[in-house]
Order: sequence, then structure tokens, then C-alpha cells
Amino acid sequence: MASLPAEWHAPRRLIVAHSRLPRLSPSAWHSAKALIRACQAMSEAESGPLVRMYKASKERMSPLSDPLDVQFPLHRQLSSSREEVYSDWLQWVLEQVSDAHELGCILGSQNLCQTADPHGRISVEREVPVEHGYTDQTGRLDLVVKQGSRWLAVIEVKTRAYEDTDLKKHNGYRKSINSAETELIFLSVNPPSSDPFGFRSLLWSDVCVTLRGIAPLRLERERLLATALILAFVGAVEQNLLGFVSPEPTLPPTGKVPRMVDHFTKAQMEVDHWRARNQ
Amino acid sequence: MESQKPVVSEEMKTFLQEGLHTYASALVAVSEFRRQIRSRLQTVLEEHSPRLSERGLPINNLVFKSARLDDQNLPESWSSIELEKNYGGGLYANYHVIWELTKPKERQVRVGVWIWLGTLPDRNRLFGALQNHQSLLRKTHLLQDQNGLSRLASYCDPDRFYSIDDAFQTLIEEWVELLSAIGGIRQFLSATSSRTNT
Repeated sequence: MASLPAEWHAPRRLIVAHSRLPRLSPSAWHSAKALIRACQAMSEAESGPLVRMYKASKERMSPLSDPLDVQFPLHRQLSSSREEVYSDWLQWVLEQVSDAHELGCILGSQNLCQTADPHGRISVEREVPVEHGYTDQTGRLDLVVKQGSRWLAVIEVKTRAYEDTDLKKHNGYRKSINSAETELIFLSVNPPSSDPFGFRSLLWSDVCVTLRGIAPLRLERERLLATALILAFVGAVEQNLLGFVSPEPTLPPTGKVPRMVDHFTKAQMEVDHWRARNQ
Repeated sequence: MESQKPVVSEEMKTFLQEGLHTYASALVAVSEFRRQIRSRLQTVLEEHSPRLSERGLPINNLVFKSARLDDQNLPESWSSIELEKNYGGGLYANYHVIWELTKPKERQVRVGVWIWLGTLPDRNRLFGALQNHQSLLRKTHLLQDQNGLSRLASYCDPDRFYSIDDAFQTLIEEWVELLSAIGGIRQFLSATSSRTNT
């Protein structure tokens, strides 16, 4: 028999040793299969409501459509998950919104809703240099939401998986920001697995849900084009960062359906909230 | 280099072949299960967020504890889903669902919250204060671990695990009531460990 490469001996011995442990008996997969079947059945049952909510969303956004109605993976610039691209577009979106209350809701910040001057102009700056970042280094803040000289919020953007060590620069950022009123926000796809050094976690999915809630109120002719671009941004984030796909004509994979149902349910609640507020 | 003769049993072959077809779907199912339980816990906590904040335990940035998939000591008889926060200064709070299906049915599933303070005297002082008000508790039980950690817990019906949020709701309501009765958590942090990070 031909000899195996040396690096295979240890793994093979390990696998064989594990096979003798009762906890890795073949029957273990029966439980896993039962769980998978239950998950698939739930997903199938949820697909009906998902399609209904998707259709309702398309109608709500008329004359535009639901953000999942256009395939963004085909769009070269947005198909990448480069932080710069999404940060640039988020800056533009936040400036379009410009209303302090709406902005606070998008960023999940009651503080911003309350402390910002409702009549003052809000600007959003990119790549703002600060004195401290990683230890003994200067830093650059992804986004700073400003009103005059006041810094209302600092947003650090992540569009991909990251290591906890990537967040150490937050310590430096905190040292650089003197004002206690500045909200420190860490925007990511998944919740951080450790405390992001005093920054508050904000999820991309929550940003999208709020934008979906606000969009139907901005469908008048004067704002239609800007709203289309905001929804396009939502579509790009949902498809490229969250992995959502249109439930028509083919249903999304099993694992996505319940997540998308939750997302659409939250969006519907958000729409109701904003409609009630504007009546 | 001469190879050792591999010992691959039929059961081992079956196990690996089955895993090839089942592993990815099983991970998706486990991930969805965890997400749903987490979402239920989080929804209840968010509902009580202002009251918890006022009592010194804001719930922003709760960390979802990992599934320990690669832990060599991964237990087969029990598991848990936990949200935890390190407030700094030795103060931790943990909200969880724990199940142990080898126990009698009425003790298989429980929801709970525990609080850890940095020093044993602080932990004992907190438990003493909580204990003084335990007459407020109707459906939950107050306990202290040997290390001084204070826990509030409630057993749930395993046949109604799908509505675990109801049991968790009751737990958090009684927890908030208890925290109010003792005047919040901050006074139990001694001067040496009172630097907190909320």
C-alpha cells in the first residue's frame, strides 16, 4: 500500500479514535436529520406569509417596488462587500433623510432624536481623521454625523466578518472624541461577539427595516428619484450583506425564509409606525 | 515513510458519509433554532429595557454566547442559550434558557438570570438584599451559588418550549420588581470595583 503523506496520519488517527466514542455514533445524525426536517417544514410553512408580505411591500412602494425586486449582485460596484462603497452610499442616504428624528430612528438612537436641533442642518462626513486609533496610531472615523460644530454620532462600519482585535481602535476613537453627547455606533452584519469597546451595536438589518418604513412616505414626485436610490441601497445591503433574495419566482433557501419573514414583519410594523406618526 | 494501517470501521464510514450530506443543513437548522430563541429573549428584554437601565442594568450590546461547537467538553445531556453582558468593574449579567433532558420532566427546562459582582462581600451583600424581598416572587426562585453568584430562575413546561418567551417574560417582570425593591444594582458595587462600562 502506498504511504500516506505524513500530515494525514494524525488526522486519520484522530478520526478513528473519535469514531469509537459513543457520542459520535452514526445514530447521532438521526437527531440532526429530524431537526433538519422540522426546520425545512417550518420554512415551507413560512414561505406563504413571506410571499404575501413581499407582494404587499411591492404595492406599498408603488410606483417603485420592493428593494429585492432588482438583482444587485449583477451590479459590479455593489456586488462587492467593500466597506468604502457601502459607507459612501450610507453617507448619501443619511444626508438625504436629514430629518433629525428620522435619522435618530435609522441609527437606533433616541439620544440623537432628542438632542439634535430639529431645524438645524445635519451633515455627514466620511473618513474624519482623529488623533487616536490603534495604540500609538492616529485614526480615521468612517462616518461622523454633525450639526454645526456638534458631533451627534460617529459610525464605524463593518460589512464583513472581523476579528475582535479589529475593534481595539475603538478605544482610541473614544479617547479622541471629547463630547459626551456623541453617540458611538458600531454598524455590522452580525451582532459583535464581544463588547465593541463602548460603541453601541447597530445591525444593517435594522437600518434597512427603518428605511423600508420611511420610504413609503417619500414617494411624492419631488422625492421619488432620491427614494428610488435609497431603496436601491436597501436592496444592495439586503442582498449582498444579509444574503436575502426575492421570494419570486423561486423561494429562498430554507435557512433564509424565517429570517426574511421576521425582516418583513418588522418592516411592516415600521411602516405602520411611520404612517401613524404622520397622520 | 510507512503508513500505519488505517482502522476505519463500517460505522465510521457511515458516520462520515452521512455527515457529508447532513452537516451543512444541520448547521443551518441549529443556527435558526438559536436565532429564534435569542430573538424571543431579546424581545422580552427590550420591552423592559428602560426599567432595567434605570436599575443599573442596561441591555444594549448583550453578547450572544457561542454554541461551543468545537469545545472538547461539549456536553451531550444539557445545553443552553445565553445572552451576557460585562459591565466592567466585575459586574456581569447573564440571561439564559437551559435544558437538561435527563432530569425529571418538571425540571428539564428553566429560564434564568444571574448576576456576578467582582468581590465575594459584594455578591453576598446583593444576595442578602435580594433575599430580604423574595416574598415578592410568585413564580420564580431565588438562589445563591457556592461562589456567591445570585440567580433568579423558573422551571418551564418542556411541552410548551415553543412559548418559552412567556416564562421568560414572567421571570424578567419579577426580576425588575426585585431590583426595584433593592434600589438598583449600583449600590452593591464596592468603591474598588465601581468603575462600570455601560
